[in-house]
Amino acid sequence: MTPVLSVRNITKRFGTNTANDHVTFDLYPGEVHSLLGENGAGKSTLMNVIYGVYGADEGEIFVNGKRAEIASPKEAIGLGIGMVHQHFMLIPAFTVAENIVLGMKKELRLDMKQVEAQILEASQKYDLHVDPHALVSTLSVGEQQRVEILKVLFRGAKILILDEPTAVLTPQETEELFKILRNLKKDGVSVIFISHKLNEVLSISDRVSILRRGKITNCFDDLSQCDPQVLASAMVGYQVRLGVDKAEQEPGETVLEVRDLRVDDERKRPIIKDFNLSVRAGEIVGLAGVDGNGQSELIKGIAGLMPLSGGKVVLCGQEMNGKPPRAFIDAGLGHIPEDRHRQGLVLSMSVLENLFLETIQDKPYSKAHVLQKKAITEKAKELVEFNDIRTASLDLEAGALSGGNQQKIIVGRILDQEPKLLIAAHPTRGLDIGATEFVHRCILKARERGCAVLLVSTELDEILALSDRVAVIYEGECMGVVPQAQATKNAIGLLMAGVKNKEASGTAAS
Amino acid sequence: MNKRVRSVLNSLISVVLALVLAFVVIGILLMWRGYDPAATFLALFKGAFVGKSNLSASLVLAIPLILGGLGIALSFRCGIFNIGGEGQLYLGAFAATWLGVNLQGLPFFLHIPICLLGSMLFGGMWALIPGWLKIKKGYNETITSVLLNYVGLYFVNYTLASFFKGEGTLNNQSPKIQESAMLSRLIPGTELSTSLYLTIAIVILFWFIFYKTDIGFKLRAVGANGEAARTSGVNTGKYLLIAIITSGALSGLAGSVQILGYQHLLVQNFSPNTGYDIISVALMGSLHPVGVALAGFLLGALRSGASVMQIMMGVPVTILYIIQGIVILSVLGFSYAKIDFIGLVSGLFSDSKRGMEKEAAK
Repeated sequence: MTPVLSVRNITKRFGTNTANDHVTFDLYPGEVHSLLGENGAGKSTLMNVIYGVYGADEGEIFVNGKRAEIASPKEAIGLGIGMVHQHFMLIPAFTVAENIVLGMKKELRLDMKQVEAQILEASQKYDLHVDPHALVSTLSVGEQQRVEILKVLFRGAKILILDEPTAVLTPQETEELFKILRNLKKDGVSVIFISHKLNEVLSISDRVSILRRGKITNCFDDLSQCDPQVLASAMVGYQVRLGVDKAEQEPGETVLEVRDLRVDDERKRPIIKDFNLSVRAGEIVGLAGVDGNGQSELIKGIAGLMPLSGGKVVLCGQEMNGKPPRAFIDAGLGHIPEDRHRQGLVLSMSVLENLFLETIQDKPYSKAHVLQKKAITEKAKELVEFNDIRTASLDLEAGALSGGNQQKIIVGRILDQEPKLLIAAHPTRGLDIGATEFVHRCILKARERGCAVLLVSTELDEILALSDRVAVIYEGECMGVVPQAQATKNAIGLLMAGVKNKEASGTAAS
Repeated sequence: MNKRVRSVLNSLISVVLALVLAFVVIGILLMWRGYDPAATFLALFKGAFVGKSNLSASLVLAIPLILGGLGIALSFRCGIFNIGGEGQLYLGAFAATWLGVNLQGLPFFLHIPICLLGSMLFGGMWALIPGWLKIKKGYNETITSVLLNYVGLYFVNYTLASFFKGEGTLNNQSPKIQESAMLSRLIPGTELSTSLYLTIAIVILFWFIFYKTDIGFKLRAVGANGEAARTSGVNTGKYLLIAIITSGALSGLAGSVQILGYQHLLVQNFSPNTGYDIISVALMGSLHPVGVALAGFLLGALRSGASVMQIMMGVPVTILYIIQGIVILSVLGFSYAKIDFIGLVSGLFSDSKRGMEKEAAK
């Protein structure tokens, strides 16, 4: 059988950096071939070469056995290659049919009736249920993704590239997506599936290729012999052990108490609605939820970075309403912010300076406002060594470091202050496996020390592995709090989709 | 090479290159108009640097530029853009003159500091208005501060035409200040006063606060990433206010040193555009205290040299503004493009070494 898409020895360089190094990759008709790799391994570069966004420096691409020069996405679409981006490219004020037809028709007259009929037919054929008349703004994220897929199929795509398609989905929506993909396979559509979630990759793929530092290092043709451990080790190039060791531990007194919290956005629209949550010393409470359901506003409300429009935040017995951010830190808050570039670091300042953003005015680093160079350098060296921050020098700009090392600066300096409450917001987002392990170990160590931890993440696996209790946020409301023992993927997934579960809300009230 | 040394060298090289570029352009312009470029530049250079009186004239012009430039550099570094130097400078000069005229019988060691502090207070309060509007109401400080320039400038003009007009003169000017408020001369026969010492002290003080104290640390953090600073507990509003008030106070001081130093009375439009020139100085000096001092001195010297050039060669002083414009545009262009001159030069000698440094950085 000839592959529908065959990539031969593709090399792509950016300056001195080789993003793709002689990559060879085959995609057969009707298969789901996953591309697995850490951030910066070259997955996006390869997809952009295939989709005609970048030209390759070396190598060839064959489509259906014929050599193809793909110079633009338009040509890629012409060859039957379609890409669904992680961030959707839809116009919210248009209907599904209008979005699908946009930029497609060449004739002057547009017969929407006919288009809608065609869409309906296609959506039934592939089990992609969407209403062509519905406005995109009224659709859920899962439905919008279906529109994106339909849009691509409608343009005649036989090769579907899905870039991290499950990042924005609940577990149930993911299952539905997989059902659709299996239907598409039957119809002869081939799928390149890009993800870093190992379990999902195993459940949907026929084959898996591993990309590491720009090279294809492994290609697993038979997945029956594979488990996440094997894939993860192949991704990083050394043996890794997945999973975390967590000792049983009785939680202590309540450290954070959030009562009927209300937070509005700048336009005075309510975002967080009567949110209740408590976190006790020595326990990790995971806050699960699909991205954009009010997590940022909740964190900012709890950390004193956004004004509250109702309710209260009690930290270590002190009522914190209306106090400045500094008071929260003094009361024992440690905050690993969700956006390390915007909130966690001053990228243009040095590694050394970034290690002291909270503590610079404290003794022994400052005396009578004068910086004590010796004490600062000593402490910085200690932090760099203890947290294994890889930097050429302490004077290097923080922006020059890799994401993992940047996050280690933040995690290192925050935990060194021994906070009583740790808010860890998406602490491993975009990190490689090694750095992720490190951050998880740090969070567990804080828990052992008796720190109360609020872990906010969109990665359900991470939440389930670390948390003692799992709270779920949906459209700014707390859907329920579930103890770890009862927190199955299914139960949490339903709550994430906004389906209130009587049992779960019963636990929340207790 | 140390990163800091490298960045300092880079800014120096960019200023020198900018100057070369400016002089090439001016040279062409001069040849076109039939002047001798070499002789003209020599006259400019001599007028700026050679001889006691020329050098002190340069310093006299440089002092207000350096003082005001430091304030602007501080505010820009902190991320609040004070363009209101002109109004702050005039109000500062007004306050110093009023105190200098109306306080009588004070010894000089009280009278001078009172006048200087008065000018700082007025300049600072004038800057507080856009600062407060920015922090409390979110109004754009560049617009409010630049509009307040006109209010400040015309208020001072009004006082000089009415209640603060000196007797026995047709000009709109204030009475002369008391002797006890005058700064003493450093070199007899020149206009250079002890304000030079004050300026040097303030440059050093600023450098110290900027790089050696926790206050400077936070000012820089707020300017480079206000949100990260706020998240880590810095009261960003407070630091923005400190920055713009200090900036205004220094603009006020830039006005008062001219009055107490050599003008001794306040005339309408006594220091035109200085409030805008200090912005140029701050940018040319890469917003670094020492850089600002050098840039201020350079601009002062060019100004003073240009008037000598005009007398000797008949070349109009206004070409100086072309030089100033080209220099600022090029310096900003170089820093915007982040050209690493040291890297370029060393790269010519060893390409591999740079690659290794980059690897190590990762």
